Amino acid sequence: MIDNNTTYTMFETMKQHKAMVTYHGEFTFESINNILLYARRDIKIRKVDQKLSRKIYAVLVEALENVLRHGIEKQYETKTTDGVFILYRTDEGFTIKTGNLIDNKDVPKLKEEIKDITEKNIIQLKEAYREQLRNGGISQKGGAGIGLIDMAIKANKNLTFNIFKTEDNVSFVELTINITQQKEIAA
Amino acid sequence: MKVLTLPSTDYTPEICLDYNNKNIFFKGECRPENVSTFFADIIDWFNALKNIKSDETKTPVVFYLDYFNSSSAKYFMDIIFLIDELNSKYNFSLEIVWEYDEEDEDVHEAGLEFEDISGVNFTFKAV
Repeated sequence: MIDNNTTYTMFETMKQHKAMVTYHGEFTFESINNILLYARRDIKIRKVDQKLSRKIYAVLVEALENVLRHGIEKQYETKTTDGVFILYRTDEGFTIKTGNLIDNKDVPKLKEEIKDITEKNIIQLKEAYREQLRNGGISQKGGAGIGLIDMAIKANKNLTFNIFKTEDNVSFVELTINITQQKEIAA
Repeated sequence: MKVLTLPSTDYTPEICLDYNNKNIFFKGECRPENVSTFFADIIDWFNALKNIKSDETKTPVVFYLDYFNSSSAKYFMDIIFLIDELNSKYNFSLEIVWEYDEEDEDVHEAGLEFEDISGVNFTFKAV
């Protein structure tokens, strides 16, 4: 049971971290639309520079779709998965955090993709993006295989994954993306 | 040639594919729930042009997109490749017009990227 103190701790923690939008629960296409609506409104209220706000929005879409696409699917009529999402301000810009459960059998492939992104510089990532556009197919899960690459480019590689096993067959994936107004590294 | 029109939603663009009236455009945001289902009819429409005789009139295909996700980018790329094929092999004269908000460098750059990858010349218009 969540007692009152826990609720207060959650409230204070979010406030302390300058959380703008947080969500925990079922991720569906509809809930993503609502999160995007709130996030967009909050970014607008804060009068964020247009170029930066467009970048945040683009990364938000990919990050949220990533949760829905790869999270362990519930046996519902519409595609649903459990997840958590936080958008908060930092001194340098904004941070997006997502968390979701994945099947352990999907972990090696994800780790491989992360390794690939980590090892590439921005120029190589842009070339990989172009290659995916030119020749990549659409996966069974509906992804074009370029979402991660796209996020990495837009966040100037400021993204980290934390994957840990929670049960025998399940792992938790935490993705943190920092978006700053700093000038991008010249390609 | 049949006409395909789709109204805009919060996550899909307004689309008009009307070859006879030279009115072909995509306008708005594109991040459909199911990208392959959404684009299937659109890709079919462009493929169906191969079965009609081109009137050889210059026909603009206008892309005026605020935002599109990476999965949609893949399909727009496919459409651009199809347009190139229709021009080079089927005698069409489809002109890709890439419109963008004058302050939106990201969409402008995305268009330049598509142009570079496809080798098709785009007409760029800051709106």
